[in-house]
Amino acid sequence: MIVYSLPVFILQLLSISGSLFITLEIRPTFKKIIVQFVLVIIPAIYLYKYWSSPFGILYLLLSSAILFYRFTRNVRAILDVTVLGIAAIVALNLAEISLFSFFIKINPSSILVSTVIFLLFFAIFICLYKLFIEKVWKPIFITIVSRLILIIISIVTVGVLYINLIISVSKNLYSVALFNLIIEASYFGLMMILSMILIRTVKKENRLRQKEIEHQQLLDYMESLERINDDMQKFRHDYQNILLTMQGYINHNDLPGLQTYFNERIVKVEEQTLRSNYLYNQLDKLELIELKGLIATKILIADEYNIEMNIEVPELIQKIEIDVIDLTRVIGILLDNAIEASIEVEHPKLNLALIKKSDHSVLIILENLVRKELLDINRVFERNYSTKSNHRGTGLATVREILSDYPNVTMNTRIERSFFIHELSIYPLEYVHSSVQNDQYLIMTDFKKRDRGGVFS
Amino acid sequence: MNVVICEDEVEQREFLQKTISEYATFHEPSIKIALSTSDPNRVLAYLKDQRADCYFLDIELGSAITGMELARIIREHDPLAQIIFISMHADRLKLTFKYKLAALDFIVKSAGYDQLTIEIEEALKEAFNIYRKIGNQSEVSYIQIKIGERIKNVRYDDIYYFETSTQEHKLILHEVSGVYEFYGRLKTYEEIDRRFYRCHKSFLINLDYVREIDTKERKLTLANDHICLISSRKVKELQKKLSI
Repeated sequence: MIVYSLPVFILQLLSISGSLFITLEIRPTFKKIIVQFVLVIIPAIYLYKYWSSPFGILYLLLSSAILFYRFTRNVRAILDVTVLGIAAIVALNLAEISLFSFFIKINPSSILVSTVIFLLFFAIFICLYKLFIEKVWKPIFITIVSRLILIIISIVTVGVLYINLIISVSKNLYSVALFNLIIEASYFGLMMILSMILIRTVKKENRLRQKEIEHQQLLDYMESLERINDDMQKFRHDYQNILLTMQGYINHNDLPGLQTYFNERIVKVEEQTLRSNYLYNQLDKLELIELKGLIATKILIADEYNIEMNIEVPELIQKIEIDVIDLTRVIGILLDNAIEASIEVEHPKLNLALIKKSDHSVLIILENLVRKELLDINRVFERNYSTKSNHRGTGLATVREILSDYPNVTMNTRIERSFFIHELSIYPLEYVHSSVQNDQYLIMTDFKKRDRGGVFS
Repeated sequence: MNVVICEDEVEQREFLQKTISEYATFHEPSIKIALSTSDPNRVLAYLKDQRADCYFLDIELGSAITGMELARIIREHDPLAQIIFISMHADRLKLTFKYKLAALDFIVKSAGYDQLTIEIEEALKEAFNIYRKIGNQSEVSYIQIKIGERIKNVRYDDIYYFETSTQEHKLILHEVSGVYEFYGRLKTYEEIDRRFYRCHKSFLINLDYVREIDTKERKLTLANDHICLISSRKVKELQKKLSI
């Protein structure tokens, strides 16, 4: 019969320590491995052998969690340690069971086979866990509370499993191994189901929140359309008065008067209406309702400050490969900044373009006129940097933070010809990998190689 | 430099022709009008076996093919051609033209002939400058970053440093007037110029801009107050490079 002996413990310890690098996606540098050996592996073995086995196990899990938290600064390290702990126990029990079923006597070959079985099951668990991380943990926005609950669940599970193991070993109840496995499996299953339910609720919650935001944006958009409608109504209301006034000028044969009246009053008002109509027409081609609502609201605000705003959406945009909440946050911050900066400029100009390219990537350009001396381009990404004193900062740090989660988004920020320019490129996900391979960003030496058909002599 | 004109209004076309050939005789005799037409199909036919370096295109061509469409086809054939748009309407789609078609300039017709002459000449001058730059292959001192179809040249002189982003394969370039993000590897840029030095696995710095180094903390401060890390193996070499 298998004993939870030192070699078994070492096997478990090494598999857990090694696979932490895999699940957390840290490159195992020489330094990190040494640190791990000195701080985790050697003390754990020492404690296990000369102190007591529970302490060894406890130390292993705790120190690994702390060490890997230091490496990654991510709470997930704790979850990974506990999940791997669970995996090690369950795999060990499975190996034990299969050992009992196939071998009568313990000899080197049976130990080898059970070791292989242990490693096999352990590897399967790691694969499943990685799948969980890729498909559930990373893509779904799980609130901090739910994350904590998941971590607590796994800590409790690992605790229960190891206490169970230690008790059965210390009391020599080896015959309960099978019984143990049944309990563990059902407990594990229960936890899985509970976690699934939790994740489903979180998903639902997210959807609801998104709906709410969408709804709010739609309301904003409708409100701005209503405002335009009001303007039109007002104009129509004035229509009769305008005609009467014009008739007055005509009756008096006052052609110069009519001319000034027409240019000053009618053309100007009409121009304004046409202009805002044009802007909203451009927005028609943007089919992301949240973004449309946001931009419509900002048009109104820019209008209030008399900022000359121009919007270009030359082609229908139905999809942008970035979470729409993140996108509206980013564009919102950038537009707010631009409007705020425009107030301080004499003849403010604000241009926004959303351009779809033939490769289905979307380019968003936002530029506004700035007073160059007021802006330090080297500091704009600092959290507390602002062009005004007693102000909370430009929020560009937040923009960067949001976008740092997206491998398919790049952003340029610069000053050119008195314009403060942001260029956001959002690529389709599959495009990113190919573009790196093709090195689409050429340095001049590559550029030269292109054939100019012998134009130069 | 060969110039192609596509404009459907006769008067405007003749005016353009006159302005360009006058500019050529007085300033740059190498500028030649290769084709001047009202029919975009003739431009397409021309493109089949020939290339021009500079195109003046009317956006509102009275034909099935608009100026924009024509520009797109020209771009497919020749990514380096300079395209200058002419339009009745004010600068409504300015950014689109710049970023999507990499248009050099955008001239509004309604401005009056005097203003128009100035704008055409300016556009021509810039087109010629770029044309000459492409020809002058020995001067390689800038990095090209593609934004949409637009190509932005960043001079080596202006670069503070490159750093790797937290995202794989993404680089961040810090230069005098801004910050650029693009895909690539630091290794690609290590050898492009002697003043660039890879002082850390995540940083490639411009040695000209190093203001101070802290060998104890293994950090260095650049002229723009940004701080970069130095890897322990590189400290000595960096000090040596800076003392020369």
